[in-house]
Amino acid sequence: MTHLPRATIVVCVRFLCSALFLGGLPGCIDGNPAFTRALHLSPPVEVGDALLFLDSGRHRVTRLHDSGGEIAQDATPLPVTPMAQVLTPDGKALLLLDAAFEKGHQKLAIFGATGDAELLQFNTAFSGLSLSEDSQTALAFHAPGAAQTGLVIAAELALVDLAATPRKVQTATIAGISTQPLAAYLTPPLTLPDGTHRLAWMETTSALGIADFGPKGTRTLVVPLATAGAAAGIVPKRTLARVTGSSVNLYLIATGSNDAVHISIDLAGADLTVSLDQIASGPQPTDIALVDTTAGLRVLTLHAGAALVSLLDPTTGTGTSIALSTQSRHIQPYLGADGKPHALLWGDNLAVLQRVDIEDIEKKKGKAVHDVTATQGVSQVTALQNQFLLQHSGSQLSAYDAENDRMTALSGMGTVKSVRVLGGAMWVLGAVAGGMRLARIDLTNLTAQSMELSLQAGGITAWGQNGVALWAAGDGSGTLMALPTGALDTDSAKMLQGFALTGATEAP
Amino acid sequence: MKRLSLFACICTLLFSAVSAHAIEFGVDVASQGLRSYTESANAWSKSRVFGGINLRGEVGLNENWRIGFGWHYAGTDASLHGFPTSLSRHDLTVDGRYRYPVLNWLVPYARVGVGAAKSRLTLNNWETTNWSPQVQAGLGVELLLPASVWSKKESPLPAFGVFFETAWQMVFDQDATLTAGDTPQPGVQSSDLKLGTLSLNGVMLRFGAAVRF
Repeated sequence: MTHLPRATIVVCVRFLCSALFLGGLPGCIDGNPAFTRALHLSPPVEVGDALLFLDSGRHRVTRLHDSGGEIAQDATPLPVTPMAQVLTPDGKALLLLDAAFEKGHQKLAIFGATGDAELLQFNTAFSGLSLSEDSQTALAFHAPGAAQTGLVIAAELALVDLAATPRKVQTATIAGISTQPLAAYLTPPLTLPDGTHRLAWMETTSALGIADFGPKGTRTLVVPLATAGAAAGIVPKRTLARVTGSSVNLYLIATGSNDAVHISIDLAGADLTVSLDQIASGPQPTDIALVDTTAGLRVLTLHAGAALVSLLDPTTGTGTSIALSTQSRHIQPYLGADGKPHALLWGDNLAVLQRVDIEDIEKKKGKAVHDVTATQGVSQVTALQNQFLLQHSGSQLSAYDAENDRMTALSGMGTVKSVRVLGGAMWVLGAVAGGMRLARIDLTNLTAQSMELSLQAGGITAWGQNGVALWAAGDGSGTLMALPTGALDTDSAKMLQGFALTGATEAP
Repeated sequence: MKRLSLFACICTLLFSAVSAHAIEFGVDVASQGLRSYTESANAWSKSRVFGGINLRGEVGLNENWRIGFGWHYAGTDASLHGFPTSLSRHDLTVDGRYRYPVLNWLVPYARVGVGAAKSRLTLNNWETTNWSPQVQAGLGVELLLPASVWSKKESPLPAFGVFFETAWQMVFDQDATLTAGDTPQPGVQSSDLKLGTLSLNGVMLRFGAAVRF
């Protein structure tokens, strides 16, 4: 007896089924896209004690949080297609600006730690967001390079009062600004006799647009940026703000200028009054920092091309410049254990850094600057109180103890993917041959533990009050592994796999 | 012990009823499928159609009533948000069929069944197997070719034929919580994947060959 091959039987059965159902029930093929569209899971955003994962594929926000030592999850709809997102500095709210401009409105979604979104509307299609340092206000503006669909008035700004209930939106158009802003920022609040003011400034080529959002409305002005030596316009590179009494002081460096520009805006009068000072700092400043010394506020500028660091007195316009041994490009100010201001200067891919005792610059000149030598070129510096984590070009790490001028190479981490300081320890995720490695380095004694990971983790986040979590979102399904920060201990670790698929078969 | 006694009673009643008449048997081999209308069915099959094979045997209680036992297998592969899935089902059904012969070759009937459905769901390396109750009720027609058609003598040969049946089947909700086959991190226990529930309710069609003794 000849047996029919199994495949033949299967084909026959399927043919019969197909003939029966496809012929007998026309139109029954109605796959629901809610089940077929791919998942696009974002890296997590830490909002409060929760992690929010945005899934733009399913328009869903998955919220994971610690609940009595277990990983709990819930989901809410994602009401916008984010084109810009910012997390408030206090970590309590996530703001998402919608890419769509429909029916004359653009939506701004504000997510809290509960995962619920509050929606606001703008009448203009903005493309950029920035936040005040106190997390109380947000600024929407027209960011450069964004593809915008709605009406674009480059000089328009919208200030969102995040502290007010209900949230309040104020808009302003700065007459005289005609080009797309490079960036826009907000100052901390100024309390004046008539109420609280917020100053926003918009940086454009050759001009700053200023908007004062006060209790009686909005006042605007334009501050032209022109220097005697610059025939063409100058482009703001970095601006720092200080509030003093009723004035906002902006300290600015710019491409095409050899000065640090000090702009003072007084808000007390009926009209905004502005004064502008140019402080000769040195050629082509690359970074700027404001430092409080015993003698008062000072401006520290760095000039990579000329290998100079300058300490300027904005009141008198005088300064002291000191030559550096390398072309350092970045300033990392810090407060030393002696209570005095210091700074670490470093340059991209340079192995020699400088530690600067800022209080001593005027007296000791070059002796206030100390070279610090790392084993390799530095690509990133992270401040950890009086210590610094140096990421090297070769993806290695070093810890620099500025107080004791001690450099410790941290080897065996693999190619560093993510670094976080949590619970008094530094957590390093690195890629090694055949997988990944998680290391915990105790910052008090620089002792390290490590474990090999089979999980292809994308990064490290904080988890609740006393935890650390690894997340993976590469395939869209989402995986989270949470550990306590006390030690590298897999026994107490929890893992949630495929959380983006939770409830996936429920009716959408 | 009580279950055995109950089973013995049912068997006694059944065979008492059968012995009062000429015993008739039947066997069906059919293509069977379910076109479900639930959303969760759509998650496991783009077409919501779950086709497969059905075997069913029956015994006659009298001229009109048949009691039967059926097994049905259906399987489908699909993709849920880009992740490969599969669903395979085994349905076991005990049914009663009331046949109303119009002619000796044309037999309309009604059938009501109850049983259990065993479903195995997989997604990537997760899987689960669950049992749930199922009920079905439908109408059909048999087109038979009795032995008397080709032989004037009393023939011991069975009647052959085909049948077509349409029914409503309800498979009660099943928990679609899948367990990981392996964890991506040895030594770390992973939570289950809670996809939701699987509910399969819809039109069931059976089409196949019948042999009636």
